[in-house]
Amino acid sequence: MQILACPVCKGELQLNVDKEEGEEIITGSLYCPKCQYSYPIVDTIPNLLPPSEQS
Amino acid sequence: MGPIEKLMGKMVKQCRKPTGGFGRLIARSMNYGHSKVTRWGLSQVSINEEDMILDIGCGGGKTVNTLAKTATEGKTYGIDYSEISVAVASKTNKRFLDAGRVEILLGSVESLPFSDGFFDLVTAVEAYYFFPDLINNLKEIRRVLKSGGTIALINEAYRHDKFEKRNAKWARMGEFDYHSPEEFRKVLKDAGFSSIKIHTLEDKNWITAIGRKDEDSNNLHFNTSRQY
Repeated sequence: MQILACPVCKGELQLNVDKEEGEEIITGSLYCPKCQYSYPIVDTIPNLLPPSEQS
Repeated sequence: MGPIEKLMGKMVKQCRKPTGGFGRLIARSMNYGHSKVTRWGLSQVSINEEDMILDIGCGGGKTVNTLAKTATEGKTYGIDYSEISVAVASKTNKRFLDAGRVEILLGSVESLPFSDGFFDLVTAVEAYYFFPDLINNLKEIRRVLKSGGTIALINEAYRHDKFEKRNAKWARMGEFDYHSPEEFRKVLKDAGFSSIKIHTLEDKNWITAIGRKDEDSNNLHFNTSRQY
């Protein structure tokens, strides 16, 4: 997980899993403790667009 | 503007950020439309089996697929800022995703969601035209490259008298910018890249612009460019 970083502060992200199938994370989030922002994982795809571009 | 031109305009704009049902069609068709220029562009770059690679503006994910087939011991990441594109790219790369050899995510070139110095190669096929802040976005790409890592911008159009009428029309419809080989060289240099190489296929108007992130960025000022 150290590869992925917060798009804003480039800090480490914490993974939270809501739903997984086998090893695949279906829904969950990647949380940046520094920015206190949670980036969603939807349909297995992490949405790491900066908060200003999140729809 | 006539109906044909309106439709063309809609299509070119969709290439920037595919959305909706029409977007899905565009994301899929980009996979086929761009595969020849991708093959040509990638042939100018040396790719090692264990390379960590990032494809920016991955669209339908065909380039990611091609790269993952080459970097068999490494890992290929694809990012795009269109939800439709990442969904199509995930389908295209299902097998590699399951094997942990590919990751697809929503992200922007303006602020890449990766730590510093991680990639051996960053590619952008038919994508740089849409970068919102070219020099700063290239600097951001440089940040995620390892020392000695390579950027390759692969494109089906560059500024040249022979194609100016067509390109200007495309650019107007798609609201994007495009550059001459000399301008490519300059923007890469301004973003801190060295060992810049520009390859062109003049009859097709194709261009691949390559730059390297050197260990010592001070060398930059003494590195005179060649090979064009």
